[in-house]
Amino acid sequence: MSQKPAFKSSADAVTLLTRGASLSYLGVVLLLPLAALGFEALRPGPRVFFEALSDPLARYALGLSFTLALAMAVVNAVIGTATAWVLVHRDFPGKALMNSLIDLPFAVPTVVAGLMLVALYGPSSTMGLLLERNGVPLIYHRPGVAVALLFVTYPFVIRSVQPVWLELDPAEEEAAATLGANHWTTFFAVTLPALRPAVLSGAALAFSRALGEFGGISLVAGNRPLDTQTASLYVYGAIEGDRTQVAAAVSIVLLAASFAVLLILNSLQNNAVKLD
Amino acid sequence: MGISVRRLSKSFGAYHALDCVSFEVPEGQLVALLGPSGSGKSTILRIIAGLESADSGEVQLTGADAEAPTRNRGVGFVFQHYALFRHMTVRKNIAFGLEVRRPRPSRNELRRRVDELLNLVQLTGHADRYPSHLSGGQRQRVALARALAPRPKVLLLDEPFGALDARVREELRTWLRRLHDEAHVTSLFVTHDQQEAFEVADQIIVLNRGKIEQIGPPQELYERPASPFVTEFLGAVNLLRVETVLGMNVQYDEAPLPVEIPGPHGMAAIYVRPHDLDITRQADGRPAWRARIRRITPLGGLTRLDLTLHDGANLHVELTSDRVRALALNAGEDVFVAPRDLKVFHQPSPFVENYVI
Amino acid sequence: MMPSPAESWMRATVAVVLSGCAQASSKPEDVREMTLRIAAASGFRDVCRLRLLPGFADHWKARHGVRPKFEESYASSGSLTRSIDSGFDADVALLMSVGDLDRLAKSNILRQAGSRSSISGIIARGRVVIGVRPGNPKQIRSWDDLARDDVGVILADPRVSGGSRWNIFAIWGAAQLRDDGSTASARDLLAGITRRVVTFESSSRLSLAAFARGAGDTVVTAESELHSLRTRTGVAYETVVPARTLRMDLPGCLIEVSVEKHGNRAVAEEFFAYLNEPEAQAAFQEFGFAAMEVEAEAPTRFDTPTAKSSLFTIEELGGWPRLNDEIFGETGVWDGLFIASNGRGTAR
Repeated sequence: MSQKPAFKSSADAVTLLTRGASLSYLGVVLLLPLAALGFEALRPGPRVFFEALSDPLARYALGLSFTLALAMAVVNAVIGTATAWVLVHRDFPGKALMNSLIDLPFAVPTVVAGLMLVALYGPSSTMGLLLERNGVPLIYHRPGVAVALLFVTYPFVIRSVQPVWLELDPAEEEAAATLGANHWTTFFAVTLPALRPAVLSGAALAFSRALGEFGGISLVAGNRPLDTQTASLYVYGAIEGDRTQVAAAVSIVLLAASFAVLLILNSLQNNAVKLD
Repeated sequence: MGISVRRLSKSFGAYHALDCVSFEVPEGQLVALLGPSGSGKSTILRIIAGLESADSGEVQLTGADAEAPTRNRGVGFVFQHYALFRHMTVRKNIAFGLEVRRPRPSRNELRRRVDELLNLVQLTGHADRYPSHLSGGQRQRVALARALAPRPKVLLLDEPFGALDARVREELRTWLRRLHDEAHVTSLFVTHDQQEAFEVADQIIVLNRGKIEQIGPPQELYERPASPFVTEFLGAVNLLRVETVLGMNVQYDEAPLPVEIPGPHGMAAIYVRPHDLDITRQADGRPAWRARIRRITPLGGLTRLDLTLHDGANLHVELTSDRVRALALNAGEDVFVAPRDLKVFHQPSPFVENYVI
Repeated sequence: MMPSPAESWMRATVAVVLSGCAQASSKPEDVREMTLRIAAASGFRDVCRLRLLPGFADHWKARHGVRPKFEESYASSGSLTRSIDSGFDADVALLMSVGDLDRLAKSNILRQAGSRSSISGIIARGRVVIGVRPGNPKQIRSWDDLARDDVGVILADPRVSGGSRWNIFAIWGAAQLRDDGSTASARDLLAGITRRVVTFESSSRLSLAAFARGAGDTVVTAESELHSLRTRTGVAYETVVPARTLRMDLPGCLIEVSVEKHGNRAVAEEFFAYLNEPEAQAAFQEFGFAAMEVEAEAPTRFDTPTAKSSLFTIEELGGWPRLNDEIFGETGVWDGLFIASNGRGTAR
C-alpha cells in the first residue's frame, strides 16, 4: 500500500465504514437474491427466457398485472390524496380511530385480506348475491382482484402524503387566495406541486405492491388463465409446477418494470426536491 | 375611506383575541398596527383579508362591505415568511395574481406588468430564479411585487420584515416607505417594533390585549401617550412612585411642578423618559431630586447615567455626551436631577372606542 | 372429531416435545426411544391423525412395550416432495401422485446404498368424483354435465397442485374411453369443463373450502376429500360418481437417507408394513379411500355403494408420466384449452 495514511481522519474512517456496512447489507439482503433470480432466469440461455415470455398465458398475466398496478397507482394517488386532505384539514368525531384504521392493511397478512373479501363479497354472502344479481360479480372476477388490490395498497399514498401536508405552510395557499385564485386553482397550482413528491412516492409504492401482490388475490382471483390469472399467480403456478425458469423469467420482467417505475418516480421526486 | 373596521370582536375559545376594535385607514395612507405579540394585530389583518372570520363586527374596503371571499376582496397580502410559491420562478410568482384573473390578460400585458414590478423591486435580473436561490430580503421584495401585481385596493403586510436580520430590515423599511410614497396604495402593516412603526407609518394604532390603546401620528403618540401601556411600549421610561415625586426638592413659588399629582398615598402612575431629565451641579430653582451617579455609560452621541435618589429609587437619564463632558460628571458624585416632563396617569387609561385618525 | 384418537394424538405430540433432543442416533437401534417422522399429503391428514398413528402406536406398543413418537408434517403432495428432495428428513412419505414418487425415486434417496430396491408402493386407493350441494340441485349425473352453461365448477389448479392432476386425468380418460380413445373428444370435454371453472384454487383443500363457501355448483375431487368435507362441515354434500372415473393409486415410500440418519429403521419399516394391515386398510376405507384389494369394476367398497361406476386405472390411459406429458408437458393440451376458449363470458 502507499505511505500515505489510510484515512485523513477518524471521521473519514467512520464514513467509509458505515457506507461499506450499509452497502454490504444491501448486497446481502437485496442484491444477492435478485442476482440469483437473474441467474436462474438466464441460465438456460436467452432463448428459453424469451420463449417463456412468449407464452400467451404469461403475456396476458403480465399485461393484467401491469394494468391493475397502474390503475392502483392512479386510483390511490387521487383517493389517497383526498383522504389525506380530510385527515389533515377536517376535524370530526372518530378521526383518531380512522387514522389508526388506515394502517390495518399493513398489519393484516394479505391472504387474510383476501379471506375477508371472500367472506364479504363471496358467492354465499348477501353482498355477493346482490352484486351478482346486478351483474357485477366481484369474487373470482377481475373487479374482485382490483378490490383486493385496493385493500392492500390503501395506506401507501395516504401515509406518504399526510405528514408532508401537515408540515405544509398554509401561508402559500392563503397567498394564492389573496391573489384571487379559487380553491381549485390554489390546489392544482400551489398545493399539489408541493405534495407531488409525496403523491408520486406513495403511488410508486402502491404500484410495486400491486404488481407483486400474491396473498391478497390468491383467494379472490379464481386464477383462471387468460382471465383472472395475474403475473404473481402465474409465477406461483409455474413454481409449483416445477417450471422454475418460466417463473424466474416472468419475475424478472416484473422486477425490471417495477424498478423502472421506481427510478422514474424517484427522478421526478428529485426534481421537485431541488426547489426547496 | 381606504379601510374601515367597526366593532370587530374575535375569540379563540376563552381567549379574547379582539374586543370591539374600530378604526379607519384613510385612502393612500400607510398605517402601522403596533403591539406586543398576542395583542391581536395579525388577527385584524387576517380578518380584513378574509383569511379569518370575525365573531362580530364589519370590515369595509374602499367603501364597500367586505363580505366576499378572500379572492374577491382585492387585497394584497405580504406574509412574514414570504409564502412564495417555491416551485415557481420569480416571474411566475409575480404573474400568479394576474394569470388567475378572468379574463386573463394577454401575454404581452402580463410580461409588461411583471417587468414593471421586477423593476420596481429591483430584481430584474432574477426573474428566472426560484425562491430558494434568493436571499431573505430578495424574497420579501418578490412577495411584495407579487402582492402589488394585481393592483390591490389595499396592501396588508404582516410583520413583513420580522424574519430578516437588522441591516436588511433597516434597508427594506426605507425602501417600503419610498415605494409607498410612489405608489400610494392604502397600506396597513403589522409590527411589534415601535422603531419600525415610527420610521414608516403615517399613523400608528397601538394595540394591547385585543383592544386599541391609542391612535395617532407617531410624534403625537410619543409626546402625549394616552395610557401607561402606550408610554411604556413606546421607548424607555422611568416609573416613579408618588412619594418619590412628592419628595423632590421643590420651590413652589418659583417653579410649580409641571403636572398635577395626587397627594400623599394617592394612586397614580408617573413616568419620565430618560431624555426628559436634566442634571445640574447646583439647585437652580426648578423642582429637582438630589441623586448620586452610580454609573456612566457612553453610547456614542448620547450618554446614559444610572442614578440613585435619596429615597433609594433608581433613575435612568440620557444626556448628550457633550453635556456630560461640559458638566465633567463622574460616577459617585452627587448632583441635582430635574424632570422636564412628567406623564401622570391618575387612573387606568380611558376607553378608546371610536377614534378617527 | 372423535375424542379418544384426538387425545392419543395429542399425547403423541406431548411425548415428542418432552423427549426433546433424545433423538441421538445410537447405532444399535433402541426401540424404546424411536421417533418416526411422517410427511403426508394433506389428504391423508385426518386418517393419519385419527386412525393410522394411534393404531400403529398401539400395534407397536403391543410388541415392544412402549409407544413410538411421531413428528408429523402435512402439506400438499407437491411441496412435500420438493422439501424432501431438498433435504427435509422425513422417514416416511405418503403422497398423492405417482409423479411425486417418481421424482423422489430419481434422486436416489429412496434406496439404501448398494441396494437397487426401495421400500415404496401404493398404500391406498381412491377415486375421482364430483361433489355437489345437498339434494344435487343442478342434477349433475356425468362429466358432461360439468360443461353445461348453468353449472359452475371448482377445480384445484393442476398446474399448482400435482395431486389434483388426478381430476383432470379422470375427465380426460373418461371421455377417451367412451369415444374409443379419441383425443379430440377428450380435449373438447376438458375445454368445455375448464370454461365453466369459477376458480382454480391452489390445492384440493382450498378448492373444497371455496366450494363450501358457496362458490360454484360442483367440485371435482377425490372421494376421500369430499368425505372429509362432510365430516368437517356437517353439511350433506353429495357424491356423484360418474359412469366412468379414474382409480387413484396413492403412493408411499421410505426415505432411506433419513432412516439411515435417524437409525429408526425398525419403526419405519414396521409402519410401512402396518399400512397394508387390514386394520389400516379399514381406516382408509372409513375415510373415503378404497382398500388396496379393491379392483376396477368393484365399487362396493366405496361409500356410495349404489352408484355404478366403471373404474379405470392410470395404466389403462398409458401411465402417469405419459399422460402428464400429454396434458401438462411442454406441448401439452392444457394451456391451449384456455387460448382456444379465450373470449368466453363469465364462468359461473
